[in-house]
Amino acid sequence: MIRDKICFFSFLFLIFVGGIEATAAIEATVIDRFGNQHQVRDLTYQGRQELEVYIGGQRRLMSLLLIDRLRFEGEARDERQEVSFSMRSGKAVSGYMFGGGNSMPHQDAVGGGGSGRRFIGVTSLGPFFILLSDVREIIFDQDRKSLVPQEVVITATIITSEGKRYKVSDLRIRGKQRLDFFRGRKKRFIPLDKVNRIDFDDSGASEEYRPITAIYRSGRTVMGTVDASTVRLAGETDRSFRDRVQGALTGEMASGPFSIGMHLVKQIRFEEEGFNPESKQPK
Amino acid sequence: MLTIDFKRFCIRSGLLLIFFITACASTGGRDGIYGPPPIVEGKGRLFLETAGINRVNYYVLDQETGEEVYSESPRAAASSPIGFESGYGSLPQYVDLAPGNYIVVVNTDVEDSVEKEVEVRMGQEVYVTIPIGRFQLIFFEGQERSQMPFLIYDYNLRTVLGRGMTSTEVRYFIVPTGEYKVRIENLAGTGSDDIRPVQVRMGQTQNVVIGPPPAPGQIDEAGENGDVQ
Repeated sequence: MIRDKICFFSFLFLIFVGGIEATAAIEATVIDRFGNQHQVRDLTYQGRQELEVYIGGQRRLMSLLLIDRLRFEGEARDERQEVSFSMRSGKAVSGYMFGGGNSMPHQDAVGGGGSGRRFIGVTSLGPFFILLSDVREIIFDQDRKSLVPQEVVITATIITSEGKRYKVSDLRIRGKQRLDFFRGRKKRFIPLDKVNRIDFDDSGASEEYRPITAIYRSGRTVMGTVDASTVRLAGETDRSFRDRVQGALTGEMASGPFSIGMHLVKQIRFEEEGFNPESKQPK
Repeated sequence: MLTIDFKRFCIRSGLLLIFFITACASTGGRDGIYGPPPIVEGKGRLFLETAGINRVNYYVLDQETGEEVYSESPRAAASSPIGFESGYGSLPQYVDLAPGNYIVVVNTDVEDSVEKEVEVRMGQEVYVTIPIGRFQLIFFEGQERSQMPFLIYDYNLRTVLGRGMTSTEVRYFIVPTGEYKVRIENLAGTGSDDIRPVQVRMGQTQNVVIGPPPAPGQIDEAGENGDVQ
């Protein structure tokens, strides 16, 4: 009886005093380069549930929730770690990540003597971390009964200010499936899979910020401005300038890769057939 | 007899004075040292755990409808020349919300924002850990700090993630945890660029000093947990 009371009051204490931590825990089996396996829960990469990956030379942030397993190829000393992903949707993707080389940062790196590129979690023995360069494979133990976040392939027709039309699949804006815009001083985003059409104002390609109007599938209308600057920033390299200005919108066309600058777009019409409206479905 | 009455009067007055002082002291404001006020009836409380960075721009979306239900933007843009940090130790940011599922979006000084799904329950506190850190770029021209625009790149120097302006005051740039590179062009008119890698860890502060090193005896520029380069 007393024990029950203690448990009850401990529970109340946790709820009312300690609060609740709001994170979706990820469990995984981490296999290091020596073949040792570690059962890890609350797995994150540097505290984040996403990886910074370069796929096809483009920087992407990939959620750990989308991955079924990943495997690092090459040697631990390589700064650039080739990595292959098996997605939960069944798709296979390969790219590379930066692994920090020989576990030490560049001599000019500020902030300490160890690489920050590490996976962090908890095992039955206590806190766990492992450097990215020491990982061979990670097998994610996602809850099989849970809803699987599906990768969305966005298909759209892009109409330029000159009147040209391009049908593009796997459309991304600055590497993301969303459009970041400003409402006054506040930065917000529009998820491309939920929008029907985005109109760009006629104010011209010379404007640094172009007004936009987005119409959601639900009928909601959102207005704001997007960064469409063509001005070269101090310290910007040729490649990053070209990527930022000419490659703001990227995707695939039937004839090959597609890219266009934000300052040249007049309208984007999204197609419903290109994505699954139920972005989550049971596996 | 008169003496005893006078003593009683003094004691009563003293007690009354102590009562008034304590009563006034216990009516702290929202950001007082006595913690946040009770949760509003019928709502739950969402706390942002940002490891000591208690001023971030964030907003909360309703997960069902996608509507914005709350926003707070106390920080100026990174490229603004006027922004600076005060040393005022405030409480972690929080908001009282109706029970339900929400998405918390924390805007940083680069393109990448931090998003977390959260369920708020009635009468309960829920903590959302936001994996962000901050760095400060200090640019010396001669022996004085000056303002210079700079770019924040990914570690691969492939993508410009953001831009900022160094300050003569204390000013931090908030970014998601990870590795970045900062680049300043045309240093002091010499035509040379400076590129520095920066590791940002949660809750830690990094200081990057560019320019001639401070003379001996000058105030150390080290931050809370940061190192000096």
